[in-house]
Amino acid sequence: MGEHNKANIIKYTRKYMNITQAALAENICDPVTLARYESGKLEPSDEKFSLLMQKMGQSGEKYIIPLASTDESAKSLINEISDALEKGDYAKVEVLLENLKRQRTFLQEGSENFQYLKRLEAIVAYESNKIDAHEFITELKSALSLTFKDFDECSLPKHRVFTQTEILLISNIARQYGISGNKEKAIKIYESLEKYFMGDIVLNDYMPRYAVLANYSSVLGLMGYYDESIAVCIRGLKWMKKHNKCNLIYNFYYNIGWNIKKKIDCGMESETMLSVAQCYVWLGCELCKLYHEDMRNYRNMCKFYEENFAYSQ
Amino acid sequence: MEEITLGELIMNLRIKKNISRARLCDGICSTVALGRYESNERVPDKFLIDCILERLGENSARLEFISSEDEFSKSVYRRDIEEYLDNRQYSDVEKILEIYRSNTQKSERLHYQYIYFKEGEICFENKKYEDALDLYKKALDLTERLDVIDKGLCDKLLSDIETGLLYKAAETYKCMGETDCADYIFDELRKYLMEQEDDCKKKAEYLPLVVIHTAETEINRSNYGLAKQYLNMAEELLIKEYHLTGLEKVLELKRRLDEDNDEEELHRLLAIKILNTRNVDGTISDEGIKLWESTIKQI
Repeated sequence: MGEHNKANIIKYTRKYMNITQAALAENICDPVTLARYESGKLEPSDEKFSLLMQKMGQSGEKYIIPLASTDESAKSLINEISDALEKGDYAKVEVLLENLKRQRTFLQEGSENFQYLKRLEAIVAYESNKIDAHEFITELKSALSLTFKDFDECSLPKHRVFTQTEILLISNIARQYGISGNKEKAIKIYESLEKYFMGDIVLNDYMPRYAVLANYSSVLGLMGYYDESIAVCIRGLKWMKKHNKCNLIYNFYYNIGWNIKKKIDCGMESETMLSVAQCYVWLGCELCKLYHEDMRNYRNMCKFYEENFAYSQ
Repeated sequence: MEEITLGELIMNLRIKKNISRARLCDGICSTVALGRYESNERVPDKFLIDCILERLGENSARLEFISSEDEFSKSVYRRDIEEYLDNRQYSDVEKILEIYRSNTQKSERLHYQYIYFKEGEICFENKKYEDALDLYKKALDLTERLDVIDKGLCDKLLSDIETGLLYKAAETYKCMGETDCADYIFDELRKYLMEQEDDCKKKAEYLPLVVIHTAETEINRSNYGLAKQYLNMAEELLIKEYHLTGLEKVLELKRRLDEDNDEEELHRLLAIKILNTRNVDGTISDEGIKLWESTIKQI
């Protein structure tokens, strides 16, 4: 966010809320400093900005800066890569990446682009079994450290403005911890990611948020926290409904059904809910197929359906 | 990334797309004013910036260009209006529209265009079609887009709001039974939107819906082959963008046209029907569960 913008946002929000400079500045900074922030003479840190906005009851517009490029062909490649990645077509991602690397403008545009490439290369290498799970986490962390050096797995700095690539990297790291058995670490990271999202008007963030929540609910479910997992799914669904998008919602519906079934299996839920569980799982499968999502997931979900519901009434 | 001024951004885009100043600013400001914006001598308000960028086929700018207190508060109003509209809280929309209006001068045409648009939408939702159409026309007239309704686009460029207005006007005509008027506008919109880049917001939002209307028209004319083509196009667009609105209609119409009642198609349609009866939090409603139990589960 440019200084010009922060200055205006503070100033106009304060006037809109009818608060004096003195009142706003109290306990946060000097009134003179606030005046300087508002005139654009001094740029407030992300932390001060956030404190000021929160004091006014506005969480402020926080951006998760999406990956952007001024290069037209790079832009369309990025979209294609995004698509292929969501569908689990890693061979295609690899090919597209090679094309992207040839776009010189893209590479010259800054370290975030380089980080983006590194993330994808790591994913492709792992999915095609060229590196193992341990090396994968190392690669992901190394990519993250290109722009974010102080990654503390237990808490994310509340006031730092993250880029989309950074959020996705953190989410990938969490997911890998989950897959390789270190579920506690995974949960901690997801919790701090959710806290980061929570309560703020975060723009341009639908991709990271649904990806994070989908993986978060999976890890919770696998650890036996069925109700918490369902709650995360509902948060995901509500959010996607609000934004009128259906990416990955199959995941949320399936997970809800999966969790209900697991609860029934261990006696935490009545057998009468079996039909409901079945409906959710069925809906998950149908939506995955309808929106041409990851076919590997589709096959796994169908298998779960066959094994758990095919012979029920 | 290299810093670029707003003026440079607009000018570069305009030149790249081979659009003259006159064509770009038609109905919204003078060419002299546009020239001043491009050379950074003056900064237009954000609403105007959005309109210019959208006509250039770009998506509207982030908040970076807000340059006045008034503009800021108006953008907050618009955000709230859209949220209330989504939740069908029409009396709340009306309250904010009143405040918005009282803070807007008659000379701020683009803002008035927005106000009339939203007032029109409320009328439409309350089935007051004549009133809605009047408001849409009033809004379109403010940026000289009214005669698109019967004379077509003829090289004119459209912002997102202008596109929305034309779409809603056509929809309203259709509800009033004036299908010829409706079809004409949908046709013009379809051709215009198809020329836009794929990542253009108004294309993703309106093209599938326009194409669905076109398909319905072709069905009424018994051109089933053509209708099917349009329906497939609409389906592809909606699925690619992970949209839901309009998908149930597409699948229903496709099913009506298909001779062999494909079971897979039935499943897809039911999945979407169930999704459309979701609770506010996105969970499947009791109605949805009942629908599933009475259909799919029986199979």
